[in-house]
Amino acid sequence: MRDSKYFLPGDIIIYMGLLLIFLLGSFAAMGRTNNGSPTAVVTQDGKSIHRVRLDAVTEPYEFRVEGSGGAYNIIQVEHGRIRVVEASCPDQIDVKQGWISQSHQSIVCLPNRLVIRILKAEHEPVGEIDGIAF
Amino acid sequence: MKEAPALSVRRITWIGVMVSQALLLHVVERLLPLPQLAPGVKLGLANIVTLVALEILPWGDALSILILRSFLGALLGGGASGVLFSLAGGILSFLGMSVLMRHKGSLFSVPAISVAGAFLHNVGQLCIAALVVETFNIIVYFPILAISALVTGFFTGVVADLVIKAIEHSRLMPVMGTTTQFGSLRK
Amino acid sequence: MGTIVEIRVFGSQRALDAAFRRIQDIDATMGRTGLDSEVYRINQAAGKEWVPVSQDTFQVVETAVEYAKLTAGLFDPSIAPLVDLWGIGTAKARIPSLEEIKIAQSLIDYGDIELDPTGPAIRLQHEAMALDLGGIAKGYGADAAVEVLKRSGISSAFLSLGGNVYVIGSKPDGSPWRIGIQDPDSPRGTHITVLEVKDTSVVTSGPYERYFIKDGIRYHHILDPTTGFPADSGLVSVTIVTPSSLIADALSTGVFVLGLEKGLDLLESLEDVEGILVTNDRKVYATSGLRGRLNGLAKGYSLYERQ
Repeated sequence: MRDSKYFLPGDIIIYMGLLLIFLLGSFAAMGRTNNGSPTAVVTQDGKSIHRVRLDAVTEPYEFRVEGSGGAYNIIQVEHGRIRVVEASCPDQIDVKQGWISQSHQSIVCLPNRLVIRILKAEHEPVGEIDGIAF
Repeated sequence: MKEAPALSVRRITWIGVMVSQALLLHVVERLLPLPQLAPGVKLGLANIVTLVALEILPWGDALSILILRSFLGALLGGGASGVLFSLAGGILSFLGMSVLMRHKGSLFSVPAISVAGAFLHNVGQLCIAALVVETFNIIVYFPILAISALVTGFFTGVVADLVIKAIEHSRLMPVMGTTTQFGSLRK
Repeated sequence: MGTIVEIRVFGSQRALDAAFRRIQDIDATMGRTGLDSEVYRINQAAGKEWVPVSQDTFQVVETAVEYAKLTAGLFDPSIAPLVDLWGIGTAKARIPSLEEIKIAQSLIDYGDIELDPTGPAIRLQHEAMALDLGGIAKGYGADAAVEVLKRSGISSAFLSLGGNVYVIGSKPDGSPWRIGIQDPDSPRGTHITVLEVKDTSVVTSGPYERYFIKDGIRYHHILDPTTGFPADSGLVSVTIVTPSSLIADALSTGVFVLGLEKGLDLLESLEDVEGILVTNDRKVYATSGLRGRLNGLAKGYSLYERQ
């Protein structure tokens, strides 16, 4: 690469390093199969307070999680996805993240110690199904 | 290592000006309607100040600026819990950048140092978050953070570089004499 | 039926609408209540007169009686008095007294269901006897809907009537339909294994569907007419695979009450009927026709073969 003031030898190492992390990470994420029946788990302080199979949700619903000192999050659940629609935390990171639906995604509200994760479906013996007999 | 000048009015002034600049940039950044791609992905405008401080001020002063603006920034509206995370990221980033700064000009350019710093900042925050919420899963955010560090870090680094050059070429520096003190360490 | 009906058809909207209408008709005729409910009329006339019925209802009751014989009465369409007593699945669910149970049991006897094919007409011999076709109407509905679809020329479809699955042909791309079997321990939608099937019905029954818990004991909806209590047969899930959803429905209940040994015996003795039985300790038994055809098995479940 042409020697310019912004591409010194050390710079190349840094840029390449990060690019590598990005590429490797992206491939790893793509390799993960899109699980057909994701379960969302909402935990507070590490304790699971709500579990739901997102695919089984026919009617959207929302519920409120309260924390200490007036902290709260309002969580909305729809078919196949979940999000924090309103929260008391100042940085609003959890709200800004919007909907999640895949197993590698999660929503975190640190002030309220709230974590919403999508589990890799351990109960998927062999991939997708067309229907289920129950 | 030469001793930094005793806590003089000049030092206090510089620290004060830098801290307020950092806070201003912090506030401005929060007002910008930018999308939030992942936890910790932000422009990091205040890091421009950290970079400039690392270059032109004594190391200890630059650290003081960082710590002061973290706490004050939290008071301005980031929530007290946010301090732990921004400090964790900030200090890790600071240490990394100060090491790289020693080779500025020969091995590293300011934008690259800024990129490394941005990435380390996010890594630090992520690690603390992972400990707090006990989720190892958080590691999946690394790729996004890598790419965002490349982009935002480069941008803030270029700006910082221009500011540094502007200060160096202005009449401020000879009056402070700090370049003389630290220039020798870095070359 | 109060159940969710899902039909996926690759073809005409008209056929789909016709199938839905057919299901609604059957639901109206065979529900316990409603203006058009023939079951209601039969129950009201119990011990009194003959009630003329449609071919649909006659066929269902006739088949039900046939399978009641096959299961030695462990599946019995006249179980309504006992079902009503327990009220499982309603707000009135409770544990009845032994006396009440005995009285209800005395009214259960498929042998007292009189069938007149010439009418067709049905009569219940004793007063206070009652039919409950809830357990098998879904199956009949599925069969009827499938008939409608096939007559319209549909060659690929997926139906689910409240979890009773029927698949016509293969998927449009030629591959078999992949049907999961519900995990008794997890919320609806999680499966423990997958069957690849074509042109058949898959019906699963288990105590996990409807129950109430009192003093740590789970009282579920599959009642054993001989004990008057929820069946305690050591099974946690029964799946029947056969081209008639009506038969699958009847057998899924009957085999559950029969238990592992007698259940497997019965299924093996029937032609074109296969099944998967899961015991309380999560052992999975499959009839000979399904051996080797279970795709994967969830953690905690293991495949067994009867010696």
